[in-house]
Amino acid sequence: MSRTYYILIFCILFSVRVGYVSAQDDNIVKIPIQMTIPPMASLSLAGSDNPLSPNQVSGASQILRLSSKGQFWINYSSVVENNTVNTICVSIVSGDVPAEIAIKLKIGPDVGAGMGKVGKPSAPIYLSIQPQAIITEIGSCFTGIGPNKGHSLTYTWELQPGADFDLKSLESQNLEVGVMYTISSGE
Amino acid sequence: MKTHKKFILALCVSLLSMSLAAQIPVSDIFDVVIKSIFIIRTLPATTITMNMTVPQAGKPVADVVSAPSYLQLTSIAPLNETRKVSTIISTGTKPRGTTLTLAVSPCTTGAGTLGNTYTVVLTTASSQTIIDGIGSCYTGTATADGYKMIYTWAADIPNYSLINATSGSNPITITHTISLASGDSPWIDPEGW
Repeated sequence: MSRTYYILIFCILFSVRVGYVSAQDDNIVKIPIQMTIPPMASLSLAGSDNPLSPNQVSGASQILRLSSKGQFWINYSSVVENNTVNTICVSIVSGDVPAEIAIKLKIGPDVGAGMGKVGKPSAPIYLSIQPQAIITEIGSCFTGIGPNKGHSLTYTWELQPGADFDLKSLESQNLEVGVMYTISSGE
Repeated sequence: MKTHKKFILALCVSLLSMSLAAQIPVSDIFDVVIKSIFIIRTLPATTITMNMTVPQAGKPVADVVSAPSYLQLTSIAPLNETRKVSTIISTGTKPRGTTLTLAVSPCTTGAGTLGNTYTVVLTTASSQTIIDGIGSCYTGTATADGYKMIYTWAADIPNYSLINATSGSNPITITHTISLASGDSPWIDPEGW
C-alpha cells in the first residue's frame, strides 16, 4: 500500500480519538499526603559556671557544688497526644549529701519566651534520690533556648536545724552532687 | 492486491463521510478543528510523607519541606479564555495547630502562555488559586518539567498549644483542578464536534 493510505487511516483514527478527549477526565489530580507528629519531649539546662551534660533526648544532668551560685534555666519542648501531659522530675543521682544538709530548689514560672501550653512550677522542694515533680501539666509547647528562657532554677544549701557545723567548713570537702532532670509523660 | 487497495480506500472514504457528513464533496474539503483541551498531571504521582520533629530542646517543631513535585499541563484555549489551577484539601484534615503551605514556582519549560503562580495556605474550606492566566501552552513531560511545587508543613506558632501528636499517621488528599478562570463549566464546542 502507498503512504497516502496510511496517512488517511491515521487521520480517521485520530478523529475518532479526539472525540474521546472531550470527556476531560484529566483535569483533576489527587495527591495523598501522610502527616505524622509523634509524641515528643526533650529538655536541656542552661546557666553559668557549672558543668552541664550535653543535651539529651529526655533528660539532662547537672553537678552541684557548694560554690554553685546564681540561677540556672531549664528549657524544654513538648508535643503531647490528645488529653495527655508531660511532667519534669528531678532527683539526686550521685554524690553523698551529709545528713545535716538539705538542698532546696526553687522553680520559677515560665518567662514566656516560647509558645504553647507550658508547664506549671511546683512549690520549692528539697532534693532527694526520689524523683519529684517540679513542672507539671506540660502540653504542646516550647520555651526557647538558653539562659532567661523557660523556668529559672535556684538552689539553696541549707543546714538542718541543730547541725553543729557551718557550710564554710564543708566547702573544703569539694562536695559534689549530681542531679538529673527528666521529662516524661504522665503525672 | 489492487482489489485490496480499493477496499481500503472505500473504507476510508466511508468512515470520513460519517464524521464530515455535511461536506460535499468529501474528498475536497478539510475541516481543521483544534479541540479546547486542558489536562494536568503531577510528577512524581506518589504519596508525600511528612514527619514533624523537634531539632533541639526548647525549640518548636521544625518545618517539614517536601521534595519538589512538578505539575504538568497542556492547554488549548479559545481566544480570550484563560484557565486556572486551584487546590484544596479534599479529604481528611491537617492536624490542628499546623499550617500546610504550597509554593508554586513559574514554569520555565515548554512554551506558550503559562500564566502566573502563587504561594497559598491550603485549607479544607475553599479552593486556592495556585496558577492563573493560563492560555494555550504546554509544560513538557520530563521529570522536572512543569511548575515546581513544594509543600511546607509547619507549626502555627500562635496556636501551638492545639498541636496533638497523631495516632499513627494522618492521611489527607490534595486535589488540584484545572478549570476556566471565569467559572466551572468547560468550554463547549458550538459545533458539537
